Amino acid sequence: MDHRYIEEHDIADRYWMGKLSSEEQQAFELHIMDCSTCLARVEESEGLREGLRSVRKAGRAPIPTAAWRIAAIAACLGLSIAGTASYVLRRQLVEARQEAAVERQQLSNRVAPKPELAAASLYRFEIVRGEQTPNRVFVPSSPESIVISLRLEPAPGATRYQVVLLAASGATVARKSDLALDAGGHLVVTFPSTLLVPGDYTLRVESLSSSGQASEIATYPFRALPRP
Amino acid sequence: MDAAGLPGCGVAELVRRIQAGDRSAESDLIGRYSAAVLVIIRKSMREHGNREDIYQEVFRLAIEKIRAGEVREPERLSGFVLSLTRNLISRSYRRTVGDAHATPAEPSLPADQLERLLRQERASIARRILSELGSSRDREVLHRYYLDEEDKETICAELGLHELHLNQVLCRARGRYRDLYNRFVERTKREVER
Repeated sequence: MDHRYIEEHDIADRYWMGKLSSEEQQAFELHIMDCSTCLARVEESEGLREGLRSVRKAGRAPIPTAAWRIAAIAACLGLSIAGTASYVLRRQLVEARQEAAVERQQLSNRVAPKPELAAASLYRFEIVRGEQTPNRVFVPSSPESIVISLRLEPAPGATRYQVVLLAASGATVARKSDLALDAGGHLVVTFPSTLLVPGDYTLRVESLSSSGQASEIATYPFRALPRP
Repeated sequence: MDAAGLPGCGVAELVRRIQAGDRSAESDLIGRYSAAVLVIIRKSMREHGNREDIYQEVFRLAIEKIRAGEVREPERLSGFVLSLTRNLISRSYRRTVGDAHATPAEPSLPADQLERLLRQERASIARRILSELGSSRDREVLHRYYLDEEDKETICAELGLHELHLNQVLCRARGRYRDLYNRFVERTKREVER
């Protein structure tokens, strides 16, 4: 599958619409693993579709650009426009202002994008015994995911597991519930690196019975260090 | 394959570095395939559910298998990562279907904050694109093509359009989307850095 074929047959759009044959889909997915151009193209198609869908769902008609400009200019200059046109333009202006206010509010409430979408570091933790050097995690300067794999023996009667991240003071930093062991007996937890500052921490693993009762089954002390 | 290469070293070299214990190579692997794996997961799993778990699992397993020397043809690393992704999606799907038979279906998990933020931004961009289109007919083209998923031939026949015009409308809309979305990403990056 090459770019010309992809473009001529609208492959990126049809991929999201589920209109590709099984062979075409497989070939296209293999192609985007190595092709940043087509990957970007398929992301644009997805984003535009999702955006249009949200607009349709919200059932809000778009504000005509010209009217919006006139309304904004009129408002800025303090002009009054008589009659129905004025009412429509003012209403559009009020709506636009409300929309802008909501967006500003959303912006101020915004959290940093989840780092796992950008990068992640994988660590495998061992149970620390006696004076052994604790497990170590290197905290990057820019946010990313810390993925920690814990090897566990299945606890008798446990249906699910939870992992609690504790600071040296004993304060709970984060908690991940409803976890399951994978086929290899690993429990995998992910935390944003922004939760960690250099210092000592403990990961406490608890098994959860069918009644929801938690029992501690292992602890993994570790040290967070700045990434060199 | 006529593919625009992604940044980074060759894939066989990447495999060799991971096997040699080079931690930065593991980050390079994630950086190289992250976006494509996410697209494939999103396409296959419309519900937010355990997408993130699958995403993490793909890279955990990929790194584990590469380290263990299970990638016999390093130059086919992309196919290997793709197969892992598809297998994990299928396994998750089978498990979901099995669970649905055994127990009442659980409501799907709510989208996380990033999902909500992206949805709002996409809607905001789409509103802007729609408002910038020259005619209501062009707006209808976008709706019918992307939302109602009508064939180009049908849209052209019913709206009396030449396919060239329809392609221009779609191309302009996508270009504008790209432009506005990139601005949003830059803005967000600056906010995160502050």
